[in-house]
Amino acid sequence: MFSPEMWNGLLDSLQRRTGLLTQHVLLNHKSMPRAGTDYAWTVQPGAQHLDIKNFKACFGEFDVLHDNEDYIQYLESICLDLLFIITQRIKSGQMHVGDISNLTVGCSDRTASFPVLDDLRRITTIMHPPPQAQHSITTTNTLYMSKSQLTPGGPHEESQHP
Amino acid sequence: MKSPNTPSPSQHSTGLLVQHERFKHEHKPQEGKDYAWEVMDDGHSHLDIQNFSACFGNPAFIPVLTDLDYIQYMESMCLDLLYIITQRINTGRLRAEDLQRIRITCSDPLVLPRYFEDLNTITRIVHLPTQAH
Repeated sequence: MFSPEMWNGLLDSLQRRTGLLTQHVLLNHKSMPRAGTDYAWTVQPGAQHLDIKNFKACFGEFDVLHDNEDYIQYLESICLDLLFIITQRIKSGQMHVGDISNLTVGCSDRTASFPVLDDLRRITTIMHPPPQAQHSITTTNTLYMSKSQLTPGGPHEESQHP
Repeated sequence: MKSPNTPSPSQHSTGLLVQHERFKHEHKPQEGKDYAWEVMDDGHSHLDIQNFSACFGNPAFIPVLTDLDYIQYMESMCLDLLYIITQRINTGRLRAEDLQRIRITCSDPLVLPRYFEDLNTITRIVHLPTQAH
């Protein structure tokens, strides 16, 4: 049996190695969303499109939420499920993170909860710079460091792709 | 009212935010310092990220070397945002329905706009009713 200290150490080690997404997959994805059945991926030159065909198969039930915290946890789960689908694509070599800028995500499942999707979009849309700062930024855009300045060898530098 | 002993129906598919807090938030983002939350007269909420690194972790110190590292950073950003929102909900100052009237900005000049763009691209799910026929 694991002692609490050993268990915490194991979790910590797992987290450091793999991240929470892997834990999410291990713990929650007994029924994985299936490419072609639950979602479809279309690739055209310069464009990638992910279509959620079965909302519940991809994101789980949404009509059984009781309170505010349940709802936030459901949004959390959707985020991780989306990233799970994208991770599968990346792991199989069919996508690079540079392709994210050419990605569109749609949902053709008529039974989907669109208020939920709206809320998800709203809380992950971070406007930068904020509207009131736009004028000063256009005149002093040297304030903004480029990604390469902050993360040399970052993922958008194609040469760094494994 | 849900009984405390009644398992949350969403518990089976969620709950990693708590683990995320435990592992990653040794230095929790502080309201008023790292981010500001303002409630307008009309009920709209405005969350402004004032310190990107304090809220999401400093990308300069994270070994973002591979595609999977980058996806993990996206994952972490999602959970960090939800962490901030959860703190607001836990203190009774925000309800789930208030999310319909929320606006999020980042006034920190030392930021990586590409990260925000990618996060938004991944999570912006557009309804496609015409393809459902």
